[in-house]
Amino acid sequence: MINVKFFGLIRLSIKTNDIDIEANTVNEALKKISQQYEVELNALRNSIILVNDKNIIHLKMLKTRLYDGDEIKILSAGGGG
Amino acid sequence: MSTKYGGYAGKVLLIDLTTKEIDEYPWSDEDRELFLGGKIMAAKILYDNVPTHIKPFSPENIIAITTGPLTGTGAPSSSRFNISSLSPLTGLLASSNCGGDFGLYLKKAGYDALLIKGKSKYKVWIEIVEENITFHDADGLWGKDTIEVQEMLPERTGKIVIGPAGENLVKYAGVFSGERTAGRAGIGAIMGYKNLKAVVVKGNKNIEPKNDIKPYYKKWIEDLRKHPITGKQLPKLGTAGLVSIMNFKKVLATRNFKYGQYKDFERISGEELALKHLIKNIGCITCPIRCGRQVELDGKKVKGPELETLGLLGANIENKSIEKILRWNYELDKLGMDTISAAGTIAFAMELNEKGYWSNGLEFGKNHNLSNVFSDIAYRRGIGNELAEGVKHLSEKYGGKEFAIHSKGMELSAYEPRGAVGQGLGYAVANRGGCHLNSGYLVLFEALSLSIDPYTVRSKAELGIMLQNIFEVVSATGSCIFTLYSLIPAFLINKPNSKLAMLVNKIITFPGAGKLINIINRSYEGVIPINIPMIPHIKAISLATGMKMNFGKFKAIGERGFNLERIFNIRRGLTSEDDSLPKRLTEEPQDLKNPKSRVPLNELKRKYYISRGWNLDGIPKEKTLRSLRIGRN
Ligand code: SF4
Repeated sequence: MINVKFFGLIRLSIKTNDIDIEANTVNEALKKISQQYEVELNALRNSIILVNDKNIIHLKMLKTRLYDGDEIKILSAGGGG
Repeated sequence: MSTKYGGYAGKVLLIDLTTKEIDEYPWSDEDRELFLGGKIMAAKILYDNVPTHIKPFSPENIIAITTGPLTGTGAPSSSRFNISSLSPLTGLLASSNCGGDFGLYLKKAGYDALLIKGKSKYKVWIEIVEENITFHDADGLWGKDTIEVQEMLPERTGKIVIGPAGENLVKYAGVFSGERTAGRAGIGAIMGYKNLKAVVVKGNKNIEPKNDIKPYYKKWIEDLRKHPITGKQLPKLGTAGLVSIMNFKKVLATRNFKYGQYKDFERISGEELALKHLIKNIGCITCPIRCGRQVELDGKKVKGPELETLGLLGANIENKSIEKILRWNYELDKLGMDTISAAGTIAFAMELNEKGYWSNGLEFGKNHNLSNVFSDIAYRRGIGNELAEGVKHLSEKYGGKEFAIHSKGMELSAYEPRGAVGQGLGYAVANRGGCHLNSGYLVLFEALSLSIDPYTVRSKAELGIMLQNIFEVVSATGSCIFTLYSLIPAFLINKPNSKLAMLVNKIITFPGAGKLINIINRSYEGVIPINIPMIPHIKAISLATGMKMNFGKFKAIGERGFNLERIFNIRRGLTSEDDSLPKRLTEEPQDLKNPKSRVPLNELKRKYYISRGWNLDGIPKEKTLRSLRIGRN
């Protein structure tokens, strides 16, 4: 099972803090989330995505493999303060 | 004295509180061209008029309230004002920018700026209705909090007030206007010292732009609404939306800046605020962004906390209750003090207590009694009397300088700079002390909106200088600094994982990139006579005032302002030793496995001084000042 946590504007739009899903890659996980929550797949793909606190840009991007117990964090990018 | 330029009211009002005399301060069109307005105009006026070695609490100290030429012309997010003075917290030049509507009212009353000198013998508030200026006895207002006092003053006016903290000379007392605050550096205490409780202003004068500027503003507003930060992130999450990303990027100050991440960050985040507490977003008049939060507290609608307050009254003291932060934020506003310095001082006192340096009863993670402590600070009771002096004072009295989180006497905001070393440099060299905005706000590029290498020293000094200069001049136009998010192209925010975004992030810190940035930094109007659409303020100034403006000229005004503030401070005795951070941030890595996770301040400072055209002691060279048309006196 993979735990997925949502942050930023994505959390506001789907009104969910986190979910558990089954998936073998980040891409698969994002597809499942997009089907389940009516959130555009592209919006998810264009977010900051961390797998076990590592940004996927330093891993294998969307092809990053997932293993049981992994944690994904998805954060809409950008900020202002 | 009137002006040939549009956008200005054309008059600067000078009030002497000692004699109650009113005068007009001479401010020429050449001054307008060189110093534009806002904090730069204030720096010039204070440089020319504040005697060098006076104490901040002296009748000779001047409070300069200034606006910019875009204020009152219908420009988006431009109703703000700047307030400058000699700071009781740092002993140096302070400037603080404030939203609300006071700036707009001041212009409508016919003034670009208001200067207040002297000290009233009795407690006073000033009413300005165009040319009619009245000094009212403030006995009945003294002691009232910032909300009560504003309710007692005439309606439909612009107001600035102080609360009990300002009256009792708390070193970080703020000046309040509506629900907004000029919080930093203690100018509220200068008002208190001068026996000035409030200034109220109104008028019906029109501010005429030189050209028809409405279509340009319309497009500008559309662009602000389209941009992912000013159109979505800030309206929906406010500045509070940064808490989560700061935590991921290890820049969320935690436990008096010991760490950059807080395990309970979600509970004090912008998402938590938006989903559980937000009634609606609110904004300064004329602002399409509306970054403010309105929340409910005890059945009342009150202003919600900004990011800095969430971070510093949350992670930095290990408090995970957002409800408490809402309450303290409201109480600190009512008492009239800066939440950043108050919270930073509490965190330092907690660590002093923990380490046995000062037994004061304050503990990380246990904070049920902070409401009383804040009240004690405002009224200077018990330990509150010590806390009212700020971190630097406490470190001199009780020790712990290596973890006393301030620069030049001003407490740092919520960004932990060991996760963004350029931000660390910015804190150290900022003219008003440990401020995230005057620093150049490099953390935006290192962690928040972009992801350039946060640990390298490459390009950091040069980029910091460029941003400092641009922030300085944008602030002087009268615009909110958040309108400058246009600098960051939308694709970097919307597609952070794209190849192009990654390339941009890499290029900025490529070997040699810093040199290129510096060539731009050192070239003025003759060399770069172009307009840059990413900075819409440049064309707005041309249209509103009729001045010939281009990127080179615009940038030079910012650089002039920054250098002027620097030489003001040097005249006050500032040395390069004061461009400092506590050892915790420069010597102890944030992550023991990553030796680069500390601020290599000496190396960064050296590059910074050279790139600024200063000598290695941090003093601007004559050549630099001459090229900026700044005369020393
Ligand atoms: S962005 Fe926020 S602080 Fe700036 S003018 Fe608008 S409401 Fe005020």
